[in-house]
Amino acid sequence: MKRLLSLSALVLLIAASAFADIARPEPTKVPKNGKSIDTTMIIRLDKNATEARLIIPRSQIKQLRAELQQMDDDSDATAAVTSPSAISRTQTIVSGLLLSLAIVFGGVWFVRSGKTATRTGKTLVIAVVTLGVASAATYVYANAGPPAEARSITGKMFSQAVHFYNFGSGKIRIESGTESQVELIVPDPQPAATASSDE
Amino acid sequence: MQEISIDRFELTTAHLFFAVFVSSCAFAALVIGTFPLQMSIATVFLFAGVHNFMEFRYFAARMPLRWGRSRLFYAVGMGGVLALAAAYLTLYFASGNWLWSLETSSTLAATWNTGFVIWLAVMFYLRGRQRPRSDWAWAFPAAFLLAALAWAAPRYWSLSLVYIHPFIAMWFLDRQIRRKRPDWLRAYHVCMASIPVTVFILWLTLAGSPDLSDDTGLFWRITQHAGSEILPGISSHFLVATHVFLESIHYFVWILLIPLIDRRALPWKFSEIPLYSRKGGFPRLVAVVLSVSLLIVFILWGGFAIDYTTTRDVYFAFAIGHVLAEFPFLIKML
Amino acid sequence: MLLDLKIEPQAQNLPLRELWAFLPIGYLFTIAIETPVLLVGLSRKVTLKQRLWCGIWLTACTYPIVVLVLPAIFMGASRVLYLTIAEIFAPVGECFLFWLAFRGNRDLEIADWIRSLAAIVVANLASFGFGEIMNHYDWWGLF
Repeated sequence: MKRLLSLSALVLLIAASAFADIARPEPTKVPKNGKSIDTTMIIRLDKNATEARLIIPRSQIKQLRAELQQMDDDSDATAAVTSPSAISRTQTIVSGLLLSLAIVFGGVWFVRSGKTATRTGKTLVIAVVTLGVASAATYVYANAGPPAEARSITGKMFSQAVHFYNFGSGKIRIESGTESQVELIVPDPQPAATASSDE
Repeated sequence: MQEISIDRFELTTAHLFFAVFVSSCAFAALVIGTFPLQMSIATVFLFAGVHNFMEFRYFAARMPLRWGRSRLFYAVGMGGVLALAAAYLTLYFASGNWLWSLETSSTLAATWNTGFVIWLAVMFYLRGRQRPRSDWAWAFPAAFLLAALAWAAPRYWSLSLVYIHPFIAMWFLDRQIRRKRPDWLRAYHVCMASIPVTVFILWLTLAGSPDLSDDTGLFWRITQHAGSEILPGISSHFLVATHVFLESIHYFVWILLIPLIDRRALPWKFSEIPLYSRKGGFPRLVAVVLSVSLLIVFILWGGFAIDYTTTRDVYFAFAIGHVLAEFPFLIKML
Repeated sequence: MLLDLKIEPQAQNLPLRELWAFLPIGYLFTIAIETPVLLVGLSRKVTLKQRLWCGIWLTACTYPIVVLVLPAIFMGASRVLYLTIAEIFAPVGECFLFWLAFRGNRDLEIADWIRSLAAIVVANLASFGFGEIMNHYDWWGLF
């Protein structure tokens, strides 16, 4: 007992000594709002365009870059790293391994526990598994994407059918330009001409 | 002939307990919701040290003089408390150290969390072995799953511990009521059910409130402790109020309710401490340790009065010891 | 199990958070393919309930390794290397787990073991094939 107490005191003393000379973490100043510049944008449907392009004037890119530079200087550089939703490779690897271990051990326990596990315990396990599968199914349903028209930036995006989704997305090329305003060029392929219309 | 009997309502101590508990919670929620930062400062100042002393006194009374067939359980339990507390303190105080990058700190914190849940699983397993016809090996897959979550979302995981910890005291009280006042158990469960209702009312009232001021280091620490950085979409007013509300119940349980249910937990009843009163015990050691613990309560009050912010930081770092110590005793009571 | 391999063009470069997002979706699709194969393919001495359980459990055990751990380890590395390791790991791992769970079952004879282990390999190949089809249709906009 005395040994145990002496050891405890020693361990706590060593741990507490780490306090010395080391500054406590200071409050992280996270900017409340991102930087922005005001400008105007033209959206142009172009039947000859093959891909969507967003052209940003060079002057505005420079202005935005200066703003971003200042924001980087102002904010703690670690803010991005400490974002609660950020996840590193190490985290993913270890978390994935532990998840597999949990399922392996859980399954083996479930199969082997037999009579020793209580009915409540087994019911609880089944409930957790069912809940997990149901959550995954909900997730799948919730992630089911909109039609192809809303998943590519083309003229069809402006159709009434796509308005239902209230959003659209797709690949875009961002370029710098010499114009004075931002321009969004949207491909607008025309439907293939039918025989009757050709005539 | 048919006899008609009418059950008359009879006021019992359980009813009284329920009424006092719920009305106290409602009053506390009202005051805390109105002045969250002030109440956070006041409750930590007044009750933090005292509740630690009461917890320590309670654990001292529950520690058997001879560990007997629970030797392995207590060895794992107490060894884990010491090792994990030392590791936590080292991580906490070294977090601003230039030697460690943020990713290293994050990895080490997740490693600590993994060690913590595996320690819990081992204790559950050992406790299960002591119970007839029990197989508590499920604790291992549960621990691995929790550890996976700790690695996937370390900051959310740590924050969840902050909010779960107050409920551990309520679980202790549940076990204590089952043993000493089973007639209060139903009333107590209704009291427990009232807590989420109160938190929901706090949410309805405060969810739309503007964030609390975090201009000073102390205010920033209080709001950050409640999770304002991790949950930026939720009003820090609500977060701080909820955290202080739950912490207050936690203090209330340790300082008032547990001694009320189990008189052996009254601090001055030394004869109820086996380590003190039994033959072959350590009466002088127990007396000295309890006196020192009481002295620390006064030192904390002094520290809070002189430099509240620093004392609060140091207190919450070392408070991990009491958080960890709760688990072996709680699991042993299951 | 090989279902995930069909996202391999992205798997080596997908942001880690997207791998997590894919995990539940890919898992559900995989067990939807593998469970029927196992129901038919596993030895008749394995009860229907156990075969159903194998369909859900075996994939769940190896899936986080194939979808999260291996892509994270081989991020930016040769895709062929990743494919080879994942290809071998999934069926071998599932066969081992099947043996672990049923090694106490004395009714299973060598022929039953061979049939069952072959069924596990076939189930993995089937999910791979289905994954190819899903990838062809761009996962119907799920990603």
